[in-house]
Amino acid sequence: MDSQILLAIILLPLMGSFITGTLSFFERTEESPKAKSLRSGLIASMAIGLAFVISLYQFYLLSQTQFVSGPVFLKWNLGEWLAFGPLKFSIGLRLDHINSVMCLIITGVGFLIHLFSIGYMDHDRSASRYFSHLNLFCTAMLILVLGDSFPLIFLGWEGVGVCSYLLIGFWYQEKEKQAAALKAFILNRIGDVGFLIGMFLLYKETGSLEWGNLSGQSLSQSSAFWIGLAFFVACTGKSAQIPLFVWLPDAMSGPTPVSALIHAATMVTAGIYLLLRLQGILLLSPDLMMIIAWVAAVTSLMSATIAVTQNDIKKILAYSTVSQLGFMFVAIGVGAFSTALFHVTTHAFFKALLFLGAGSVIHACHGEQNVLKMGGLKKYLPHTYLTMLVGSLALAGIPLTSGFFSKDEILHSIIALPYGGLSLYLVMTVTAGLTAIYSVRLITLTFLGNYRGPTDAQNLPHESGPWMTIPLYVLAGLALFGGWMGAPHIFHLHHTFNAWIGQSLQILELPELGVHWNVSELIPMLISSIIAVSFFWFFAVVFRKFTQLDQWWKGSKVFIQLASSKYLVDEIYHLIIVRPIYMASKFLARVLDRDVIDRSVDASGGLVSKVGGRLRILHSGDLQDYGAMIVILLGLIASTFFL
Amino acid sequence: MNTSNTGVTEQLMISQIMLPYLLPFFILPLLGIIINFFLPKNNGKNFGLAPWIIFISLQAVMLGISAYLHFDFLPALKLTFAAGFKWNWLPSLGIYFDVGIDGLASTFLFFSSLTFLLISLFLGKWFVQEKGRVYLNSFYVVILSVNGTFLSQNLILFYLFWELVLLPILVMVAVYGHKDYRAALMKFFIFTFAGSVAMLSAFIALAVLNYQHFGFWEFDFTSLGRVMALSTPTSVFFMVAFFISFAIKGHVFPFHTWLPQLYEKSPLPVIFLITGVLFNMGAYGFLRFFPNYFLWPMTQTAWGDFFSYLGAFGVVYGAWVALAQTDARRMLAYLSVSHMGYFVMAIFAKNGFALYGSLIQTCVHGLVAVSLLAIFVPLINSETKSEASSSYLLSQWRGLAAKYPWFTTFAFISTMAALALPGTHGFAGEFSILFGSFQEKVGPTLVALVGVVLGALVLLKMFQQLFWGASSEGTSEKNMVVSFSKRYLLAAAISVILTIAIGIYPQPWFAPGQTGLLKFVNTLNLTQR
Amino acid sequence: MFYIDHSSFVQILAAFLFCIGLLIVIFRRNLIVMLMGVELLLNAANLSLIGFSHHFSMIDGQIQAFFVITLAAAESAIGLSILVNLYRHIGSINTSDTQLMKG
Repeated sequence: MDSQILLAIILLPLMGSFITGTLSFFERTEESPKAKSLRSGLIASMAIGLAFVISLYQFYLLSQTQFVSGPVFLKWNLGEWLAFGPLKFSIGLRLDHINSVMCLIITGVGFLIHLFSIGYMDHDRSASRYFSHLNLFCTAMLILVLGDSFPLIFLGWEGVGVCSYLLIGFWYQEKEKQAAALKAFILNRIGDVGFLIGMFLLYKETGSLEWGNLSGQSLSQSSAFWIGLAFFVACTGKSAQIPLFVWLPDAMSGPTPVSALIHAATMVTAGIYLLLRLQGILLLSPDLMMIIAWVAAVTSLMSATIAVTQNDIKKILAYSTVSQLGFMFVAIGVGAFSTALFHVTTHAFFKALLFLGAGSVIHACHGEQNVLKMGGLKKYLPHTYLTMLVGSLALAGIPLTSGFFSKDEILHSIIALPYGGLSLYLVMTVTAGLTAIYSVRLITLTFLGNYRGPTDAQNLPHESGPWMTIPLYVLAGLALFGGWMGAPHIFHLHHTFNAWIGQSLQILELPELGVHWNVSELIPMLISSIIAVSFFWFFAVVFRKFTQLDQWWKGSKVFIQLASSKYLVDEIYHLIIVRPIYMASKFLARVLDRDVIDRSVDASGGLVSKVGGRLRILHSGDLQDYGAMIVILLGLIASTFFL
Repeated sequence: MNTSNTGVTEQLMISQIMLPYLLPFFILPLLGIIINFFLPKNNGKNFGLAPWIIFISLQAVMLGISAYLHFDFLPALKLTFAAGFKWNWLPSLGIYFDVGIDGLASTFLFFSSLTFLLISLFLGKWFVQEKGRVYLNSFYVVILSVNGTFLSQNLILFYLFWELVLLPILVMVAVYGHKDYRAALMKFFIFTFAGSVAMLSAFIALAVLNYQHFGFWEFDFTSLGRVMALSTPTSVFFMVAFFISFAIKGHVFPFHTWLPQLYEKSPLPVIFLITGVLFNMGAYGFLRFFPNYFLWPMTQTAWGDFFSYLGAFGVVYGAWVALAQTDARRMLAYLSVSHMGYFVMAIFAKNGFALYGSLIQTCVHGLVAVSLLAIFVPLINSETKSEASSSYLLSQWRGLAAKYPWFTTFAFISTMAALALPGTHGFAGEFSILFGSFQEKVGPTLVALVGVVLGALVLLKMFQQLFWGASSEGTSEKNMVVSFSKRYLLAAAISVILTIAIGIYPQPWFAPGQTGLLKFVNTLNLTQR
Repeated sequence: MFYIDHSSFVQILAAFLFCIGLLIVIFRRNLIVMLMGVELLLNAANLSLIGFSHHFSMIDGQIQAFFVITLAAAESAIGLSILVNLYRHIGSINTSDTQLMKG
């Protein structure tokens, strides 16, 4: 059947990974890095590109499939993994409307990032290994979205964790990059424990692990709460929310296209995808929805404040990602599941664009990442400037960009849906304002003003080659125009995104007030437009003159200090969790294992020796002592006959 | 499991069929030793390749027969009892040379044969060096005793083979061990022996009870299931005696302390043997005796909860203590302790799927541990005289990834398998255990899940210490020159292929082992979810 | 019930002699004296046998006594030759010097 091609989507990047990996073993070191990068990059890009074409074809097939009743999907079963008695785990792939969108994002944006990487890695001698890991990551991510049961999602979940580890630690010679990779993996593992608990609980309560069967379940509110909470913990790990988000800023140690793919467009959105699959269960527990919304809101606000103070171009974007992910989780928390997916899509466009642009800037400035040492790059990097400006506008939510439509829909849902509230709305609006501030700060400090970097001819920045600029333009186009597929009703346009997703997902009805002008939609839209545009304009001027916020607003010095040191979360975690673990391990090894358990084993042997030592006294070697003993013993035995 | 549903003639026929299949497992190792006597000794230049080739071929034959039995023969027969043959030894006491195989035994036999072959391939250098003949002969005896343990159906015969394995270990450590081997070896020997004495006393008690009830001596596994009318005090004695003996042999917390000390003082082949195969003897004992009529009711009581928690704590403890180790051998010892904790937790989890998972996990652990250890084979100078005394400190190697990409890939996949990454064989067992055990006993599972994170931390730190970084940071001059023979690359490739093959489709590898477990689960109405 | 009559005096005497002989064997260090003590033990046993033979009017005790006398003679011959041999080896007949099996 046609749906067997689903497997091809997964196998193509896997083969690409295998081929480039084998190439990396056999390449000669004398070959120029540029040739290596081109060769492996083309193979990897073709693999992903073909997967994209097949995803498009599957998308088309899905849109043509009509069923009389029941959900619409394409399915392919791959066989039995483990079975004992009536319990069977089987492997299968299943495509419905939600993961068709995810597939397109992963393969499409992934393809662009692969092309970009051909230019970015042209001076790195391990480029083939890079492309191998990148393709392997895409394989794992595709397994995650295409798997039909939670164990398969878990396979992809851990798989992307491993690939993230390999890619963050790609330049493994430096200690901090090694530490960053380890941190990412371990924090993700903690989340994985949550995933496992959620999966086990789900089976215990419902008896099934396939997400296709979840919609008609009747669960008690408390079991839905615990299942959802366990899975949400997994999401805080993978999608970087409080308390497990601290790996994401450190993950910027990896090559920048990696940050674009993994930490902006795909892996971090796996958490959202997971919660989308659990929609039926989440809706049963309003308490959990509230927890999700508020945890995400606090995360979002906190990381937005940190982003305003950072000076490393990638760290600004990293904290921005955490903040935007918070937006997506808030959307889920208030019940706007399709909006969350919409924001995933637009975020993939503009954040990947921003990261790739940052990569272009870093590549141009020969590895410089500090914005304080950049500035005025507009005249050196015109293409990068233009595309990054578009990305920033989308990020800030300037009207009519893609980011505007999705973010605005979230803000509207917070007010309009019964799960949301006014306080949540205020928090998220403030965050949106901060988003505008840091995005304009990024642009201003990097591209506008005077050039603050080295001026000698060797180190002068130069625009990147076509491999890097063309994907930037494609993404810029998507970031600018991609939002129209989710245009709200007020524009009297068909919300194609919701129409597509609604076939597989339950879209909660937004209360309609009025007929022509939808007031409840218009007011938040106006508010956020005004905030976005005015902040963007105003702070563009501010950051022309000052580089840090506390230089402009003198009263905020303490606050800025706190925020710029990321509220000391890393230090706190190190003190409360990491150090005690190592100290306890030494304690266990020395005191418990060696001194208690082992000594008691030795002591039992020692006891035998001691008793033997005491008994030795009987062996005096003296003949008469032996005689005396015999007599006494005989007397005792004889006396028993008289008893 | 009883033999009453087949007639006498049928049993005779089956025993005649089984004889040529089961006898080679005993004859071939003995044949190997005899051949070794007649082959010329190698002194200096002419390294003993011939004995090693014969060794590999004999193992390949045994592997082939065990594979045939496991995948084709037994499933076709659909037997739920053990089919084999029986020779007289001391019939008046009920002691026979009773050999038989069923689904459980065939799984263990197959995987241990596979692990032995893999070990022999990885350690080829040790066998062909001067005086490598000692290693060869010791390995033959170990193979014989391991095969005998899995195949025997008579308790005294089981005890014989159980004890037999101590002798070759004694020889290898005494001849090639670290210069201070005495204390560690003595501790290993006496500790294991004490456990075996507990087991023997339990066996004899069983036979005495049988004699008191039925009037004749009997040491047959399955028939002793008849001795069911036991009051609780005697049951506790049996459970504790069996638990102690299998826990010591299978290095379960808290009876594990002999393991790190022995590892520090033994040569690498001994470490491979213990970590790859010998703990499986303890695991086999658990799976053979505990899910059985007279012990199972005890596991339903508070004892079951206690042992479950003990297993779970063992998982966390093993991983946590491994974190503090600087010697590679000790670290791997504690990781093995951690993995056995999962196994014990599963046995007492009252869940059929967890039992199945414990079977998977223990068979796979041998392969996982062997591939982890194999990382150190090229890094260590294998001169037989000084190998055990050379330093295994982790800090002496650094930055190996830059020079040896194949090696790094193999090491990474092995590390991921030990971490139980989905897609590797390590995941199949661990997942089933955690899944099944959570359905019945949530508390121990939550404790064990902490161990999942800690184990990842330990293994990744090890991997990063060895392979990442710049090679100039290491303290060993040997850092610079690491060589790999083709044989090692072949073994590594086989290991990687097994990891992924068993990881993606574990069911065909373990389905034959299910039959006995399923019947038992059905009879006792065990939860199967 | 136990009567203390004439027959019992012999037994009491035999018991006393036996105890003396026992104490000599246990507490005296000189090997020749020990051998004398052994003779005393045997003779005490003899006396007891004769006494009982008279008391029960059965000849068995006296026949037994003949055996004992014979054996005592043989045993003292062997004992003295062992003693001479021992003296040749260690130069002393004090039992304190024969504690080679100590410990």
